[in-house]
Amino acid sequence: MTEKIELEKIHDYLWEIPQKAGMRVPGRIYTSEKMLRDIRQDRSLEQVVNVAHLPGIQKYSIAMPDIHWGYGFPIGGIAAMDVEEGVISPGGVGYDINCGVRLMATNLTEEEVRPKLRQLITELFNSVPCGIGVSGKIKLSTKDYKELMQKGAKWAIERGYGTGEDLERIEDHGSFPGGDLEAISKKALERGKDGIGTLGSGNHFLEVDVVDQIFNAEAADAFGLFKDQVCVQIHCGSRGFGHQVCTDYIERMISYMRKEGINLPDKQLACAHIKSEEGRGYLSAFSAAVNYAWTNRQIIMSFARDAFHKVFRMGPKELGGRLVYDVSHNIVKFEEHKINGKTKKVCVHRKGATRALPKNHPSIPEIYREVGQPVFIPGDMGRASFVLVGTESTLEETFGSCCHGAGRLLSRKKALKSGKGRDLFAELEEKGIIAMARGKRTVVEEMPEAYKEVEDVCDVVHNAGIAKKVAKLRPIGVIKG
Amino acid sequence: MNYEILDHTADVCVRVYGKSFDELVKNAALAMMDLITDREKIKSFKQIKIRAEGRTREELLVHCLEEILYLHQTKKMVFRDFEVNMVGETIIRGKAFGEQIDLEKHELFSDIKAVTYHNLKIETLNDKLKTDIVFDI
Repeated sequence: MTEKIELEKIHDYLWEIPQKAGMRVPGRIYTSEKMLRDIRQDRSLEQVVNVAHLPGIQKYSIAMPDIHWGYGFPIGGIAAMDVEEGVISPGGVGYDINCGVRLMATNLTEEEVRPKLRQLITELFNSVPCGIGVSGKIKLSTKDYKELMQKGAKWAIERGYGTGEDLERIEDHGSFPGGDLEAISKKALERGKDGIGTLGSGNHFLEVDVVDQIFNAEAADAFGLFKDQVCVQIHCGSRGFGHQVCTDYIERMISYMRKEGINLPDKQLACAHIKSEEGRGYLSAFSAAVNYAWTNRQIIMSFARDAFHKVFRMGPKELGGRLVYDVSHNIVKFEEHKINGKTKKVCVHRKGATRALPKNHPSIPEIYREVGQPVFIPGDMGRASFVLVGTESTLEETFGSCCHGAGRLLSRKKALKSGKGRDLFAELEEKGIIAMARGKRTVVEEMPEAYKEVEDVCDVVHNAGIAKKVAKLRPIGVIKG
Repeated sequence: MNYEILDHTADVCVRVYGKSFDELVKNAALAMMDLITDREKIKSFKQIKIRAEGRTREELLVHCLEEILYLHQTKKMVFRDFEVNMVGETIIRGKAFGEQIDLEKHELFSDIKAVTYHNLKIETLNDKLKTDIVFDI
């Protein structure tokens, strides 16, 4: 569909869209020849071009190998804006503000878990609220909301969901400053009041994995990962709260653009200057939603720990249940990056992209400073996921960012057609994976073939040098909404 | 045909038709509800008021769908039918008819996060109105 967009090959894993009329910078796509054929099937390259029109964009409109057609920004897109003259775009973060992934490592091996795997998955399925229309166990009062918006994951820890050690292993210690109740609509409060501690549905999941292969022993060791170890991956975000914050501010920014005479190729790119009242308002509401998402993942991990303790009759010390790290992949952050040889503060939008910092970077926990920041790239529920580590090139080339997942290949419509008459639960079980889901249709829409091969995606970033492979995870159990 | 589902890689795109703008909005609301649940299983018709405003027809359409989505998620209801009435050019006063969600009875297919403006344009085609709406799922 985007056959007509001209691409120039820079090297085997990088292509450039030359700067044309209206574009403020060129586009850059990290991919392989093979994956580019699929990328050309949808309209995502057109979206890379559209993002290049945004005021204040620096260097390039960047896309990762898991790029696919979203709305406004492509999914797998990165854009850094000048803080003085640039804009902030809620669509450049997405509706699911601070959607992200965390990895929890246990002391258990696959051999120890297998005999009780069904019991474990059942316990996880019963203890982690998931699915559409399912309320969480915690109801938020206005006072709770106010505190949670300011404290983030710390709010959950103060209520017994985890320990202080967890906070060191979350981006920004699980708390963004500036979350303000005044910036939040009543609708957002209403949509979020029973969503805390819930997984949601769609591509969100809680997965039990085994470390299948180690590529980088030094980094794996620093991350506390060893072969055959059982880990838990949690993927979810800010639920209805974040969705409504994004909805509210897109409306405000459409009015702002009308007022300021800003014209963009797609209304979904709605934006406002960072320093404008609308821009600052979004940042306050966005920060609250970021904190909501961190709290959400913290509580879900705590439920998962409890499920392990119950099934294996182990205490926290024996189980391990240590948070390796928590990464955000729908986010905007103010960071310092080198642009034309000078260090400059920019506003980095990551829409389906993960921060990936190199060793010695001050923004990563001390325990990982000698190796670099852990990055988690979930694949699909039938094949694999990857643990990567940031490199120096990540900072130089992609504003310290890499990919975020496998990226969809089939539309939900095509997946449903391909799943007709098949028993996906049985197919997964044949591969040794126990899956449980509230919505049977979700499992069909999320079938492994609906996604690109995650190893191809990770190989591109590995070979391009923007992140390095550390370990491969193989799923053995999954719960879905 | 009132609507058809088009291919969209990550989300869901629906092409909606209507003889008038009111009908286009109603058909878009029915399409959205069909993405959420099987409307045939909704048997009672509790009435809920809908009110939306917008400076353009596209904004009015999106705001009306957002309002229905909000009512579905916060009142925990599913809707079988809608009534859409225009007040002037910029306001919709309508009604949604449905019942409380009962997970035993209503299977919920999709958790729609939002109604987007992505490439949204209402066009006239052979005396009919047509538009493509992308829902974030």
